[in-house]
Amino acid sequence: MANGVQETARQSIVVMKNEIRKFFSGKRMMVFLLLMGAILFILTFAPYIVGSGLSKDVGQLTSNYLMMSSFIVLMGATLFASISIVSEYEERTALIIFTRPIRKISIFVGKMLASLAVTIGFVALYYIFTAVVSLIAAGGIDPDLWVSMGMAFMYAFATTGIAVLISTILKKASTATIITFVVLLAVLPALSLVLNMSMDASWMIDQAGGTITSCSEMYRDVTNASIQSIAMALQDPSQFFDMQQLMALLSQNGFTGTFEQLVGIATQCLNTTQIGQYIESMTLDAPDLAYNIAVLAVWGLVSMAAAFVMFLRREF
Amino acid sequence: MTGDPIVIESLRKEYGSFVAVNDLNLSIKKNSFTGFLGPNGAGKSTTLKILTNLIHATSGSAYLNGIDVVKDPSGALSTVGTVVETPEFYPYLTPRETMRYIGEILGMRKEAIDAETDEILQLVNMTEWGDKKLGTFSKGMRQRIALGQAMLNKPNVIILDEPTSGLDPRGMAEIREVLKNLRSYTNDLTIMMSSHILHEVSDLCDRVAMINHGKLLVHDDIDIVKQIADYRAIVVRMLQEPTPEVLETIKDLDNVVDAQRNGGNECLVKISGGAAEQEKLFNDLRNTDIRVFSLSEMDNSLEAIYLDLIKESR
Repeated sequence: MANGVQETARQSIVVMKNEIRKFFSGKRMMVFLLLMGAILFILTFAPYIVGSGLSKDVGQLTSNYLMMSSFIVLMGATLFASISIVSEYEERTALIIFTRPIRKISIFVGKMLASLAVTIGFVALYYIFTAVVSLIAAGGIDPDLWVSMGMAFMYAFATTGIAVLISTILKKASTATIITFVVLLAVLPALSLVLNMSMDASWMIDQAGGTITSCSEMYRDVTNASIQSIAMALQDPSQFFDMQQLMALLSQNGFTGTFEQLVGIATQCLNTTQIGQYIESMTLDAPDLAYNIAVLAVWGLVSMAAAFVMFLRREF
Repeated sequence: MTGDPIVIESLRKEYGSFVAVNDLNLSIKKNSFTGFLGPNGAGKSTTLKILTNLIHATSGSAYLNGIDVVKDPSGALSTVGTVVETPEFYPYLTPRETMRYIGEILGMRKEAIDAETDEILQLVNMTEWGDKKLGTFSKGMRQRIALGQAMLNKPNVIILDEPTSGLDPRGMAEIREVLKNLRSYTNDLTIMMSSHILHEVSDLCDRVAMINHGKLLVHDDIDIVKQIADYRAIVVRMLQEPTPEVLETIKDLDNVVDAQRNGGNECLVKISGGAAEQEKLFNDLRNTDIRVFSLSEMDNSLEAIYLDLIKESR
């Protein structure tokens, strides 16, 4: 039994090493690096091009980078994990490897670990870059930056599980890539939105993934300040009407109420008031980290277990 | 269970209502080179894919060196080399790197992998290509590497599924040459090879197993199988079309068992007996109105038997 586990682990590492080499030899790595480079370039240098320069406020500066980190994770899952299994069948390399005395669990674990390692590696590089930029431009680092990185790793675990599941079902790598991207970026968030209307949907992967940003107190402060100002503006009729002029006009036409009464009526009539209240309800609170880690772990484990069952059943 | 290295017992594979392998029983003798024949859809590839753990059997068992592939695929394949169809390699690897990857999967030591790789590359005549990326190789070269990787760790069983399929004539000849040399690489080697190409089987194999509709039709030494037919197959070429009347005329001749159109102005005539009867057929044909210009014995009697067995099993 112990020998079996040891042999499985040994073979998994062999598969993982080859898989990582495959990623670094392929065009997908080029695409990934180009996209990540473009994101970092825009976040870091575009402010100088438009003349404003990087923010000197650590919270403000870090928030911009944190907002894009979940996209880096999604790119990793989409470009690497989504092809890990399907490509062996499509490119017929399975005929060489799967006919060898290798347990399917070794192939599965090796490939999954490779996707995860590559995604996590690049996410870590992204965070290190963020920390360096923050230190240079704003003179400090968000103390919750590394917590956010940990949550990004957990999100990578969950999204890799879903991507590998899609990879075990489909026949073409290109289709698997597109479907993974659409599922992670649109289908699951849309489902989450619909569920949220009738129930607590905090167990949805995108909501738990949102902790990547909301775990940072600085990010929450920056975001909540923006939310507050938008909400206030939408709830205040004076933002849309010149109330003094309106009072004068109405008085000329027989309105006999006070100015305060007019403001009250206008507030009631203002269509944006409810939107403002809704936006105000979006204020970020400190998330329950343990709960969100558990949610992401369950998403990852369940989808990986389902993917492994599908992989075992799959025939050439 | 026998001590044969490949044993198939009541193997069955169903795809919905279609039965691809129909309770197949087959035992491949140790150190034999067995040709596994059958028309398209006969169940050859399905059987070999079950043996190589690429698909699951619906029922039955398949043993490799006494280990059930269904229950312990990893154990069963531990001393088996395979080439299923025309496999592809990771294009970013060289043949040496591919061997190293497979060797590591097999748990071989680096030194052993490197030493064997040199021998194998020589065996498949690819020594000078050992450090070139596989992505640049032709199909024939990749197939030679596929045969080479199957020999890594000196397996005692090799399973080949149409190894020359899709290759040009030169590629086919090169693969056949490698196949002939495989036994020189290791003394203890049992080979099971499916093929469509009957003269290839006739040339390489010492035993033959024929299946159709997933059922075994015949399995024996190739010379014995060839003797199953107690007739010669003669290709008769004529200047006219072999109309039904012409065929009837031929069938009425002495020693003629059957006469069938064989495409164009050819017909396939089966006669009982040997060279003397063949000479008599030649003379008899000259005495008819049929304008025969060529008469030759089919160079591969295996083909005649194969076609007969397939026809009978329809």
